[in-house]
Amino acid sequence: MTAPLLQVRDLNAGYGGLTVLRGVSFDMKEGSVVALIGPNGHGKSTLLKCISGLVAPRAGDIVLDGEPLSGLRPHQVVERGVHHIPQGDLIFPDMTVYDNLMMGAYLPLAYSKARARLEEIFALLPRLKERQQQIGSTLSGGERRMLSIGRGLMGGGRVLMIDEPSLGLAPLVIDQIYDLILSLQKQGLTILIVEENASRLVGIADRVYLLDDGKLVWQGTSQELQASEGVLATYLGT
Amino acid sequence: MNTATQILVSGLTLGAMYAISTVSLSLVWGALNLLNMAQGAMLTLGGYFAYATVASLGFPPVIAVFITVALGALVGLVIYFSVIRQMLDTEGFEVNVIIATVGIGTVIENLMLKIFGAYPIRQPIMWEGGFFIGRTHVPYNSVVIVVASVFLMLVLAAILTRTRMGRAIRAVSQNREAAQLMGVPVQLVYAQVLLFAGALSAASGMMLSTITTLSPTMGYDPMLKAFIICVIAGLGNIAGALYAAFLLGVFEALVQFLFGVRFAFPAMLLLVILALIWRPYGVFGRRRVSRQ
Repeated sequence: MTAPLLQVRDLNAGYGGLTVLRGVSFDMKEGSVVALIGPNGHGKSTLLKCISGLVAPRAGDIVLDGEPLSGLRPHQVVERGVHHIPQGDLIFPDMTVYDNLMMGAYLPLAYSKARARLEEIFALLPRLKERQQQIGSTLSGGERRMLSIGRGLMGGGRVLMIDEPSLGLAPLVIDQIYDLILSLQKQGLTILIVEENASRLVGIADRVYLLDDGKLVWQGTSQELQASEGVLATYLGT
Repeated sequence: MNTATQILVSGLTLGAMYAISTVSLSLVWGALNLLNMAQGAMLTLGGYFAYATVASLGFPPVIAVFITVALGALVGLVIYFSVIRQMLDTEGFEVNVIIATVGIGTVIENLMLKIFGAYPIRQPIMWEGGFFIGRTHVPYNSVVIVVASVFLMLVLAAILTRTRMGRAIRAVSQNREAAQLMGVPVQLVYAQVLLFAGALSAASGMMLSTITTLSPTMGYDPMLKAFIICVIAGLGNIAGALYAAFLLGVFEALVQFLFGVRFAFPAMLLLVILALIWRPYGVFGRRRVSRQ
């Protein structure tokens, strides 16, 4: 039994007087795909932000490969190989697609490999290659999402956290993005996905956690999730 | 024809100085959301640094120019580490830091008053003489100012667009959170921005003092003009600031010639009002093209 790559223990977090996460604990094995599901506004994005250092936890520990992550600044978390692809389109609006991607390879190690990495990403996401010189803000929603994901991959991290990869996208684009996630998994990346659409996770997620009102209330495989209609009905209203 | 050349020469000279100081202001605003009210004092310091290195320390002017720019950069760093960094991430940062920079400006201004006195001093660093285009006298000093400004702007543009550090500065300006997620240490970027702003301000102040005289309040008026140019160009828009600075320089020279010196400033303020009414995002600012 190898130790998990990422461990989250009794995590509490909030904003001002609001408590968002209440004692969240889970593990991620190296090379696994873990999904977080749950209703909107129940702490999924906050959990990712705690891991990436954007939000300081009030209590609890986050440990990567035996080293604590909690208390580090966001750029230090990235330096340890944990990359967070945020929700929505947090791209750099006045930069070209090319410059946006190069920002993904900001860290020195990634920067030295950026050329080769760029070709790999263009192979995965050919649309970005066509639009290399286009300014970020003129891309369509789907293209921005792809840019955001491509940019996250430029860093070549060990752990990738993707917040709502399919939000607001056309089904065809969502398929492409999940194909991409599958191929990343095959390359050995450890992936944490936040997803609203539970049916998308079948065959992809090794482990699914349901986050409700700041607590993990259910866990299982994606098949078990599909089988337990009660869970879906209660928490996701589907 | 001669008048036109005359206006163009003095307009471009003014524009060149404004451009540097405006870009400095714009960089700081873009990256830190900081309206730097100490900008005027930073310009003044540049002028006095140049004067002191030549007149008091006896350096040759060519070397004094580099010393002045280096000292300006140092001042930027000192302001960042002593004041701005202490206030980052505190409640009401954007307003409090304006007051803080007003304070820094006042301290610097009064230090200059104490050390060098209120009496205007002539800037020893300048290229005497000139040449004629037709019957218009063109001072060598103006040529130096324009060439040096354009050179500085090209260097800055190259840094911002072609280097890893420059890209990170732009990234922080456009989306701080995303930049952090790329591994950009934002506080390092802030320090770099203040370093550049300090160096540019010193260069601009030095140029300015060669066409006016040195006095503790000399930076005040150009700072206001830099604000005006920023508003017209769109705050944080560096390329726009550059065009706007040269246009406003020529505009100022034109108004001075046609209506008299005292109307130049009110005319510029009128432009600001018009810009704010019709193009609040700046004349050179792009209306955000956003597809949702």
